[in-house]
Amino acid sequence: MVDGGRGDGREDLELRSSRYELGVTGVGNGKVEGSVRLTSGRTEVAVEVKGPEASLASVVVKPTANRDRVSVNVKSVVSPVSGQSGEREQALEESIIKFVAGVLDPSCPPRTTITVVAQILSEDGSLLACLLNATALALMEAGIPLYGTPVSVAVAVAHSEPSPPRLCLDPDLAEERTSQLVGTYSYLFSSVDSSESAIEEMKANIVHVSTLGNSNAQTALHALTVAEKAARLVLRTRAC
Amino acid sequence: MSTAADGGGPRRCVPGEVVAQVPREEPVTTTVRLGSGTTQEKADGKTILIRTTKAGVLRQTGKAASKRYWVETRHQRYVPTMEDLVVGIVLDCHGENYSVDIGGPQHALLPILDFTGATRRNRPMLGYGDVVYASVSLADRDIDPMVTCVEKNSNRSKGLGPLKGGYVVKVATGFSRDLLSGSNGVDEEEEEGLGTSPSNVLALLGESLQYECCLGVNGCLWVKGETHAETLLIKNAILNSQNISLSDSGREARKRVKWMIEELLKKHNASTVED
Repeated sequence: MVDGGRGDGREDLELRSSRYELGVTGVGNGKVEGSVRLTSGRTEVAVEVKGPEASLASVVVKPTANRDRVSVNVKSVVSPVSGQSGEREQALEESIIKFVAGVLDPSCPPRTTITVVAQILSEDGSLLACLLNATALALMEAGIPLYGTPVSVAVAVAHSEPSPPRLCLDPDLAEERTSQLVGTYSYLFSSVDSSESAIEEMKANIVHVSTLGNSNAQTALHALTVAEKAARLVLRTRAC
Repeated sequence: MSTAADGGGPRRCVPGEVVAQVPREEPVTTTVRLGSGTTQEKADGKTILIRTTKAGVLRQTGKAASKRYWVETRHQRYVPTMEDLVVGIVLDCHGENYSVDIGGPQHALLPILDFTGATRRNRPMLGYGDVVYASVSLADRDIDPMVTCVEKNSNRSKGLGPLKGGYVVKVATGFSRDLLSGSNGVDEEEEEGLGTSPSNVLALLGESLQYECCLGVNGCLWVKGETHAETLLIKNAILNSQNISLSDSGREARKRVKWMIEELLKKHNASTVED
């Protein structure tokens, strides 16, 4: 990334304006319970959530020794803007499945299946963060019990040397290509007790981290703290 | 967003908020009832946390000694609870049970003899698509729910059993609960001296039409008017009022519902005169 300003004139720690629309697919139409179309800058995704519906007998997981495990089966399909889905989409599906399994509350009905269907409509960086945010909103719209409110952000490390490192929030495609490291971080916000239910006091648990590129440990940790602050900001604006 | 933890009024909430802390003590002095969208969690040996798991409007009633918490949402997913009255659609009959879709994660089972006065020789024969009004007799998260059409331990008839003819309307579960309680999404406190039931779309419809209606808390309503046209009118009125009561409240909503019903009736009367 070239030094100086960013391509679209944002500050380094500024998110792109994002917009979401709930109930894109008519509720009560088929089995779709929650749907959302999320636009962040020029990245746009549509996500639908079906379920929880009774699993087929073939996929029901036999009760294991670990009884606290939520025996909910999560399926995910990600379709690219055009063409057939390839390895990259499979990796995204994998991330979504793990993310959903991580945010579900144990009170979710067992032996059920939750299906997440995502369509990438337009792509301009921070794709995974966008997909995870849309999935979280669709899960909430579907009324699936969650342990907390998840928020995801992408952080790009433009350069870690010379210090201080330069970090960019919510990078677009051009910035992602020229960055040393691009990380996607998801935080699950939940309060610890009723006196501290204010958004600022909520505890942030990491539910997803994925990074691409290389960097030193200090910069990676720095990116993590920046991501948490950004996620808190997103949570605050969304909750109000 | 209001974050007052002990505030009594309804407020918006997101998943993961702790709404109350209940002390674990002997003897038990407080009873807390948790509805949809809330869950309990042990914090340490002394307290239990009550946490929201859904995004919606947090509601609470009752005094400190016995409180109820639940989250009101717009979604249609129904979670079976004991003794809920539901409207279900028969899907299949295998052996001793009918399989009934009650809108929950699993299909419910209805024993073929669980009807008032049914015997092996004389029992209602139901098939795919038939509608029943039933009460949930078994609800556990780990096994399939059971429903029954027999009125146990009750002198008063609830009218359970197969429903003939009519039309099934699917609405959000919260809305059907509102209809049952007679408030129709209107906050009781906001409405001064009007009483709660007149604001109900069903009562307003009843002023000008004769119809039968079954309300299931699973978001399934069964309606039957004197003619097919009237049934459809009632169905449209209920679906329309769902959107009205979500956007308005109090007097305004009542006025709008009344106006909407009048308009529908006008159209209906005009078309019957032509026939």
